[in-house]
Amino acid sequence: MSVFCEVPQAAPVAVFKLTQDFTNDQFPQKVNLGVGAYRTDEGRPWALPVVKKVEKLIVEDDKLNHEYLPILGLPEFRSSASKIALGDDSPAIRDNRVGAVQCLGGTGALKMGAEFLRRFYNRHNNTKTPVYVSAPTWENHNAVFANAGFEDVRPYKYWDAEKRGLHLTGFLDDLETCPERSIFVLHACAHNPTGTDPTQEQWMQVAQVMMRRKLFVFFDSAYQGFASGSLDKDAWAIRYFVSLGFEMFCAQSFSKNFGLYNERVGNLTIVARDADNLKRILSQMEMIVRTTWSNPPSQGARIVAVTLNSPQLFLEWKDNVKTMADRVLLMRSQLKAKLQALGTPGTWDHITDQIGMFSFTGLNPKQVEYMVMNKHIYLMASGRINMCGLTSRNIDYVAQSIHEAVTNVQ
Amino acid sequence: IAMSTFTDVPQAPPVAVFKLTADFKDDPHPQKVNLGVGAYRTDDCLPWVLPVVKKVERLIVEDESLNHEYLPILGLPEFRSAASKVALGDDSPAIKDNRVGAVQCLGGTGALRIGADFLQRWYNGTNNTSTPIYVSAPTWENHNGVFKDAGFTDIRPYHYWDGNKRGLDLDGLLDDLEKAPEKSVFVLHACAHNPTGTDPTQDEWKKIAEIMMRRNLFVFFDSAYQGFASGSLEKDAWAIRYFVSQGFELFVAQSFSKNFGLYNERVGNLTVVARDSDNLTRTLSQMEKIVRTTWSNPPSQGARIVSKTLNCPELFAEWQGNVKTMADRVLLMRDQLRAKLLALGTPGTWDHITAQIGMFSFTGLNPKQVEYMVKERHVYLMASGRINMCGLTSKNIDYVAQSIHEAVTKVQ
Repeated sequence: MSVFCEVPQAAPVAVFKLTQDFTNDQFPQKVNLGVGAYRTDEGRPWALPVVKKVEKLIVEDDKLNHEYLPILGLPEFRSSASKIALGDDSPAIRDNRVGAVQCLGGTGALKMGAEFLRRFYNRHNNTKTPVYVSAPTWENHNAVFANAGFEDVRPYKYWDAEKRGLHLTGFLDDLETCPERSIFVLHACAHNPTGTDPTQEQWMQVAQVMMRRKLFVFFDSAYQGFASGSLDKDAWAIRYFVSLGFEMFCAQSFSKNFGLYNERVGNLTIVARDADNLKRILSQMEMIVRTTWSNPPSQGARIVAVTLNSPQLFLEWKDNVKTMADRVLLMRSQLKAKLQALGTPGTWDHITDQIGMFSFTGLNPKQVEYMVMNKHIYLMASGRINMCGLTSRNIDYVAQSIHEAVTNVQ
Repeated sequence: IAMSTFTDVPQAPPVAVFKLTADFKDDPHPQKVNLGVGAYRTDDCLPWVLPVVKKVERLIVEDESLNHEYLPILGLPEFRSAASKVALGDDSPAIKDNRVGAVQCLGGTGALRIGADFLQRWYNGTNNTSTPIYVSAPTWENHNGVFKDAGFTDIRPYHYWDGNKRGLDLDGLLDDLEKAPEKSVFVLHACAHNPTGTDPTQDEWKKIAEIMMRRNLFVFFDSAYQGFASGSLEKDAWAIRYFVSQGFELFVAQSFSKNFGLYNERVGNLTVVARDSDNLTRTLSQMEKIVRTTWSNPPSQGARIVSKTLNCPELFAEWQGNVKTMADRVLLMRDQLRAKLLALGTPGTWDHITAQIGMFSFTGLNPKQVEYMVKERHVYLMASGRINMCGLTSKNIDYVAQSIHEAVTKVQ
């Protein structure tokens, strides 16, 4: 008998199953509004021009070799990535109390942060510290923390389906009533999947409660620059929390804003009270990294580091990012306009109010099923669509399909 | 001002081999030699980017059909299959039977980790953290840490190195195999044992396999030096292929760090050999779940370089040539070091230097002698007496031989 005979078949990851079904679908007008990757107006992946440029520079640089990076990663990547999140002039950076771990995308950064917190936060190896993730949230948050050993991963109120917006009172109430020292995973901007972010005033309220109740701040920042087109604007919440004196983690992903999805470029930025605490934290991070991937992959981090550390390339990159953000904003604008023109029942302001790659359409599971089965438009069961999947060629078909779903299916 | 949340976090000790290199870097002595960390060096003591790698990197950057879309969770398909073929052989019956799968991982470490995470969840019951994990005494310093962090609570040494005879402690090894609880997991070095450089002979492997089969022990190969050890991919994979031919289900954690010189792109592959494709399918589906919460999907660059190379006959031949270049230089240094020690009349026997295989040699120097080497002679090696042969060059070999001679004659 096989030693694996008792191993059960695992359910596929929903978003990849969706793409697979889309790929297998023969229907000529099919549309993929599932997985979160940018697409051009031709419906294709986009290699950022600045990335192509830097890749050539790298391959021609004879000074480079493939020697192991330090365990914590490429130093010039780590520091420039943290600067992106916290700002060039960040007082915390000046105070030498900001450090970073180069990780495997946003997932790897969350994983390293989670593993560290499980070992060293709220006493040692405390697997019972509650970890709060938004309801709803990125489907992998739960599992990352659970697999790091946390036994108590809970939802905090976030999305108000009735008003199609932030459930602020519920959110604040969860912050007030949760056990002290609980960990909260906050989306820095462009909330996935709802596209709904707190306003600055609302962030201030969240911060106030978190400070008073000693809750741990763990930002997930996967869309900086991509959401509004402005790096600074998209980092406002992170910087605000830092300015209030929080110690915190920030899991940064460069998958989307650099289009470097498959090179796994991430950074776990750590803000500690002082350099001494930071030093001890980083030493323990090294131990965790060592038994997971030993040291991180070079290519993607080098592309990002070269770009961020060259004023000219940095400008070019910001421009590439704005190109992506602007196309998304255009699609939002047009989708809403078309639904209104069609007279589709309901309000559609949320499509332009929401920010980033995703929109929570408000379509219910039956309506989603109609979209997929009858119209060959692939979106998540939650009603989440990836705006990047919309193009000038398919937007009419999609708008019409949503119209039909809403009017024909209840 | 409030206390830090992290006030109780202790300072972790540095990883020994990196501390060694850091000390080496800080040393101003003009004749210093680094025989520590395991990376290949040319005779000019420089890192070597393999010519075939540089060639393929250019091909990749010029290929307009490539993009940076996420790889599948389990990795680049053409990498996974080509990598498994390198380990098991093109004509592997197991591959033909569709019972071989793979997970592209972050170097050998990542492959070990995913394999360990899987075994902790699904092997010998579910979430059985008490299954004993056996690692050789001595072994690569990270084996222990990887299995521990995967959740295993009982990691034990199996007899391996006989310090007296400076060779394999076969009796001890076989005895541990006979006495280990059934279903124990054994981490075996496929070739070029780290740190001793001492591998079982084919007959010794056969004895090991017989007991492991009889006692239902799980085979987990660590293969970080295929091709690099002897210069021949086939020769270095003999043990793996033998075990597969015996019908074992097993894991092989493969690293392409050394044999492709792609250390920092983290190219690894966990090859899974199951009894049949159904068991394989279920196993891989669970591997996906583990990967998803660790790194989501693996990095592309290194895997693509390896994949292009392995899948193109011309590039593959070029690669084999590059690997042989590295293996040959190591063999030359082994030869010369031994010859020089014999010429110096250094007490003791030095046959083990040429009998051992791969990047490392267990010199037999004791901790005091090692300290002498580091402090007095500025020759950096691990406290265990392990040296990286790649750190030797035609320019420093006399100095190193002389230093070993002094350490052995002056220090007891």
